[in-house]
Amino acid sequence: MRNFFQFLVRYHIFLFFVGLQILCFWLIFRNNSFQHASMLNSSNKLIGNLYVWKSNVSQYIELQRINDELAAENVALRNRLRGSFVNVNDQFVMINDTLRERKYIYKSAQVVNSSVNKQLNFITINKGKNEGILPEMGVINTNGLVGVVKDVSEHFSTVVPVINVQFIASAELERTGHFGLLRWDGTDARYSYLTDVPRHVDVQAGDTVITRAASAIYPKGILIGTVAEVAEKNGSNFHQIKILLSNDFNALRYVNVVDNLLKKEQEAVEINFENDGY
Amino acid sequence: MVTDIFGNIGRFIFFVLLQGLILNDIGLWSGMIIPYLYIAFILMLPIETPRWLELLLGLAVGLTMDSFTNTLGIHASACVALTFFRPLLLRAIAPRDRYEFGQRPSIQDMGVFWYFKYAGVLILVHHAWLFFMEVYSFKGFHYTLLRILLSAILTLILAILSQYLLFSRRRNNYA
Repeated sequence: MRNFFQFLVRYHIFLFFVGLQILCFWLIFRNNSFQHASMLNSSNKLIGNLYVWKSNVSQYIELQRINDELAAENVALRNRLRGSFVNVNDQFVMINDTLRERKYIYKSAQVVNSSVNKQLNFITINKGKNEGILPEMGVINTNGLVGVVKDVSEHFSTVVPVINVQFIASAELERTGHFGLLRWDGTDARYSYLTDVPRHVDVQAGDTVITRAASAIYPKGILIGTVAEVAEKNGSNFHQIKILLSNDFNALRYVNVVDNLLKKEQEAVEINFENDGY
Repeated sequence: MVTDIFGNIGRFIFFVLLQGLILNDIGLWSGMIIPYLYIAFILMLPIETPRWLELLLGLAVGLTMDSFTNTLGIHASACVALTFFRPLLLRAIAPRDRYEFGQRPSIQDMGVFWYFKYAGVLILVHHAWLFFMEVYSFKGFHYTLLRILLSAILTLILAILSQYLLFSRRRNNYA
């Protein structure tokens, strides 16, 4: 027993160091799961507001480009208004169409901070729980897929973008309909990779890659990017497809958060066959 | 002693804000090189800081940085490692007749060559720990190694510059 105490006294700093490291590793492993709430991230009030202040300063420089983007999107939406069409056939008048039920609601948010130079890149946006944003909602913008919500506080949320090595999404080649997994390799923020597409599929540079709505997070058909390069690895049954992302993550300003109203229903159905062991 | 504490709190806030709001956005060569200058706060702690306190301060500055980058635990782990190795290194590179009381681990008190050794080794330890924790594996080992080396060089240059630009007037207090 005396020896044990001597050991403790002699190595107390080293033991304290090991203890703190265990604490850190525990935090890292806990933080890697989506299902948790934590105070220590940029969705907290202090750092969120610091980032708002920072983006207010830097945004002045980019007002011109942001205006152009918003104007272009306005025109695109205006073109889809009912007033932009004439009735070809006036025998039927649509009063209330019950054949269609709303599935997605979009919420606009502003990016207050983002990083592109790390392995674990994140985006902070200025909407949170109070505006109805919840973890695991999809995030898109005019150019295409952005990422998925991770943590939310009252007024802020953090988003895991496509260019984070922990991001995974199901994606589909629009021309052939084959799907694979979208994963970033951690090097260049302009490119990502599509894996698990079988080799017999005829993939060509320039093909469009879109979302697949498999996980009920994003709507189907949101643009991800175009195929930049198809590489064959010897001995592998799958293509290694390099994708030029449609979004420039260096210049994100406004994003839309997607709320899938039927998500619970889809998950409830899918959980049954998971339980049956398929 | 009291001005020492205020000075350290001031440096904590200054370096954390500098890192969180400006330096984290610097990614030369599409994210290859990132300077992590905030550890200059730890490098400038007094030589006679108690070791347990130093470890706790490392944890504090690491967790604060993690809050900025949403990587809970990663910076904290690297900073705790840094604060564990700092006293060991200070002992290893001590001058022949030990440190004088009140002497600081700075260029002004110890000279450029000493500081180069001191900061260089500690920055390498911190960056190596941090970058390998971040990639989570030894996949792409050489690429990560290159990132560590280049980032450490940039951090070291900034650390030396900041010593000359921001904290040079201290010499008068001891002259």
